[in-house]
Amino acid sequence: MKITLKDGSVKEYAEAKSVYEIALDISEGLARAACCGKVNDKVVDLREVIDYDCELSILTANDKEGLATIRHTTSHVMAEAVKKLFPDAKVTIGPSIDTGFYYDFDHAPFSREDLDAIEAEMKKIIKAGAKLEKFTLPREEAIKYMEEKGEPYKVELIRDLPKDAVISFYSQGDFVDLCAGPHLMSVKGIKAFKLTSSSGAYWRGKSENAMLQRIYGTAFNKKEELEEYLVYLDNIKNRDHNKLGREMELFTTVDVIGQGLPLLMPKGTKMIQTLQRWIEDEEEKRGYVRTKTPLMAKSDLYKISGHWDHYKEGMFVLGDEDKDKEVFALRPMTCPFQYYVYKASQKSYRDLPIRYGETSTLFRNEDSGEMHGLTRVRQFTISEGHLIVRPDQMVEEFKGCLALAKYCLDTLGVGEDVTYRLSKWDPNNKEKYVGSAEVWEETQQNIRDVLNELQIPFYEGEGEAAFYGPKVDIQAKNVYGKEDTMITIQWDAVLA
Amino acid sequence: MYYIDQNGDKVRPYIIHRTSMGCYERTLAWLIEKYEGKFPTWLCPEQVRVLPISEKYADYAKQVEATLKENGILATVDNRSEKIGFKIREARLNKLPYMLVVGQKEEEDKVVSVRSRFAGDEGQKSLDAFIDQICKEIRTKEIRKEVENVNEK
Repeated sequence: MKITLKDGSVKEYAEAKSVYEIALDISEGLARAACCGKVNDKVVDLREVIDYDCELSILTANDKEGLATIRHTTSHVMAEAVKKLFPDAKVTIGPSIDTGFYYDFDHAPFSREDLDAIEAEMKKIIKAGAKLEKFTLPREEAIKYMEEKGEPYKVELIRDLPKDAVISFYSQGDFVDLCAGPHLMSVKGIKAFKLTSSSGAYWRGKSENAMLQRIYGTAFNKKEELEEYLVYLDNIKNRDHNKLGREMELFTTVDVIGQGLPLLMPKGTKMIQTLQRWIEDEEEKRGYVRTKTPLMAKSDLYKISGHWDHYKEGMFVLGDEDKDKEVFALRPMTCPFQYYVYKASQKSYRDLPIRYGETSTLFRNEDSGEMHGLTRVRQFTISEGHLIVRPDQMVEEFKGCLALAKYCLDTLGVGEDVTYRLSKWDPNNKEKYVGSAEVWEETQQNIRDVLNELQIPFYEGEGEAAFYGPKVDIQAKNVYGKEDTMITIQWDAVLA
Repeated sequence: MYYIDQNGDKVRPYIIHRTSMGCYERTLAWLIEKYEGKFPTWLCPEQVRVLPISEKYADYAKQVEATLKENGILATVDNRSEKIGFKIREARLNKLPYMLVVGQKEEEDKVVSVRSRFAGDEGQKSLDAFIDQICKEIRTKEIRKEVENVNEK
């Protein structure tokens, strides 16, 4: 077979060879540095045997996939150490992630002292330098194997694999883990690692499942790279609003009040008041009128709006439908309330546009496992608004909304930190949307023109629109690089 | 929903659903991380702290604070019997934009000694001059940049 390497050179072999053997044939140094391979753009284990013509790259710690392999192997070493120190712990899953790796265990919470002990044990394991061996088992044997080891989560994982899946395991010394790989050839390949934190995590991310303990760690090819990363991590931890905001006494949370229900303290309240007054003034300068509508309504309203059928899980319902004459729910949105303000009197074409603004508090009953600081909350307040306009006014008004949002972001000094997305429909999935292709394309072009006129750089996201119209989403990243939508401006020619 | 058009017909309007700045709590979180707690002056919950160098000047410090408040500035006074160096260090740790240090000379001349997070020692100013300066900074929502090595000044 013919193997074409990254540099274009070709190696020819008479018999099948593993990726590792090919690396060794090229040079011993490369074999030592090799973490995994890439065959025709597919990442493969070094143990993968090749008996066909292909393009092959040998990946090292300098490649993203190579570093991910080191981290993945480190997670296995961590699992081995945990099982050694805490034999009752049940292993579940342990992947590599962008910043390192984690492993979830069914066990009581781990302290920092526990993590230090686990680190020490891992160092011993790495020093002993066991080789990692890969083997496969037929489905029933694989299940039996993990049952005998007393690992119920692994059994569940195997049962959920597709019927024709190859069920592979990796062993290092006495420790064996169900895993698809790829992995290093030996644990000796781990040069620099650190366990960074631990926290609770639900099995399979669902709150009705068991609460597991997740240990996060990271690994690098060199000690200096690890040190540099730890300094960076420390820096962003100190910026994390959930830490700094509490230290500065801007907000706090209290167990008996509930998760996702932060208390704004005097300083934080003052800041939000400053923001609110400013926004309300800016809106009024631009012709907005203000409403103040109820925080709750009877189920009747939500039945009309469709929330009762489609979003009841996300609402806080007050009362029992079977017993009570009237059942109420805290509002998850403001739209229908402001629509009734509009409908309170007859409007003529001369009355439009009408721009309603409201500093609106909303309630959404999200999963308690998702709660975080001031960003994942069950009650929040937004600078809400609905503009009721004639079709011929739509483009101009949409432009006004975008200009206001941009002004707000620039004034806060965050204008450069956000990205604007034109969220479009998916023309290959027409049945998910209301309206004709012509109208969608025309509307999207209108929004594109407005963005260009305002000299706002933007990108386009296909399939990101609401079913009833395209929108502009303005997104920002938090210190950990996670993206959130800060502002949405939604075009709606359908729902009125 | 509808409106009556020029011909007297009922027509459905279009709607824009929008926010100016989105969710306030999330925006606050974002600003904390962006500025590491060192907010632009107009957003600070405490914009100025008056620091008397000893208890003797507590009354003058109180007067300064009251004048600042009358002008809409969020001001406090640190009247504890701590050393002035301690109070300055603490105000700096609290990431305050401005500290006004007052002692005998300031009281006699009716001035204040301005220290800022941005430029360190900004020298003595009449209280009116300082108020003009900070009110302009707040009104224009200026984001003052920090000069390098502020703490050495």
